[in-house]
Amino acid sequence: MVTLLCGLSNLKLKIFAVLFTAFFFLLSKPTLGQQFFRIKAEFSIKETLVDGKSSLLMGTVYFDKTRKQIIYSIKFPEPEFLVVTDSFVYTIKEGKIQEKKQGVGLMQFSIFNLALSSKLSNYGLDQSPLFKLTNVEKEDSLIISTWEPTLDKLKELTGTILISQVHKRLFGLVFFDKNKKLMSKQFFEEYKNFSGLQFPGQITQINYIGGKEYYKITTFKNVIVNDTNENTFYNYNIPAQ
Amino acid sequence: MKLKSLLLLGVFVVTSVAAFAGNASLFSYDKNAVHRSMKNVSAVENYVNSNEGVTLTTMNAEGTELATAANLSTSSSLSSSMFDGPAGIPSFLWGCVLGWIGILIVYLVTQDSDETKKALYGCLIGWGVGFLLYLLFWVVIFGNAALWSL
Repeated sequence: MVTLLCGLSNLKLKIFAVLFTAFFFLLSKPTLGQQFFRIKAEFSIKETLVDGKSSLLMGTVYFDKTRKQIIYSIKFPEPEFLVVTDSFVYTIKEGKIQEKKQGVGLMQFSIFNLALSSKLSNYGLDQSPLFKLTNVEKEDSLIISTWEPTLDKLKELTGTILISQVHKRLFGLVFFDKNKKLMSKQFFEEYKNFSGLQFPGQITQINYIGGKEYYKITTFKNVIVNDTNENTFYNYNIPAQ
Repeated sequence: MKLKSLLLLGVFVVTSVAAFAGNASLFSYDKNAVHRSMKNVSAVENYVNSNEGVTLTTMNAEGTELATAANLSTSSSLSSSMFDGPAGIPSFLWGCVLGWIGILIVYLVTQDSDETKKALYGCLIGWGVGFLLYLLFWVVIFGNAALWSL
């Protein structure tokens, strides 16, 4: 290699240096060509409620990572927009804000942000200062990792989280309370590849409340990644109050 | 002695497998039970998909039995479960994958200035190390290029 370099002219060496730099930079940023910034999907959320009723939400969701807001364009039960930002969750109907709720940082944990940031496989917990990885096991195609809260105050609120992956994709989450009682499970299934982005087609959540099971199924279809159309939705402007 | 060792090994294997199987079995659920409980809601979903523009109001006005059978809640968008974090933890607690938000979370959770300081130091150190690595990268690259141009 050194002999080869010595045999090159000054100009060729410079060209080599530039190419080497570019190559090295590309290697250090393996996801450079896989930058995802937008996602759009038709969704439905079906849920059984504690009061014995059911809930159904249907529509289209838009998320732009740079814009940092999730826009749910809901068509059922009634047409309206639901806009989730770092600070608030807005319900907007006929161009007017109907409801505004506090919602600090909700968006960071959304499946859209995690997926576009390539953090969905472990639910972003590996970069969280609040949980630490304490165990990893393997059975058949399941890789199960155990996460424990690190702060004493947090331990008073919650317990262990188990995460399972199948083929390096998030499959299941199991949440326990501080007394090691099972609280909730979530399953991420029917993954599809959308322009290089792996995204689940269905998320099934089971909540255990008062000895009963309550279900929630979220489905996504017609997923579009890095869409450059429909900027009005991605850059949705929240009307003034 | 050999028999005792084998016995101990057997017990170890069995208990290990049992313990492990406990965790693995948590990652399963009764799909039939879920679909059974969602049967009526799924019927409404299919109806909405095949009737563009239909709303709960119009369904109720038309006296569609599907909506009645599903016992749909009239309150729509701000369903708390849609935005509550898992395990009853407010979702913002889960959004702490970024440094500054992490500091905010530590402060909110602990209300402890020492813990908050630690989080701040951690964040600053993280940024510092990142910056040094970035600097080192370019120093190495330009250093090499300068050497070769001599």
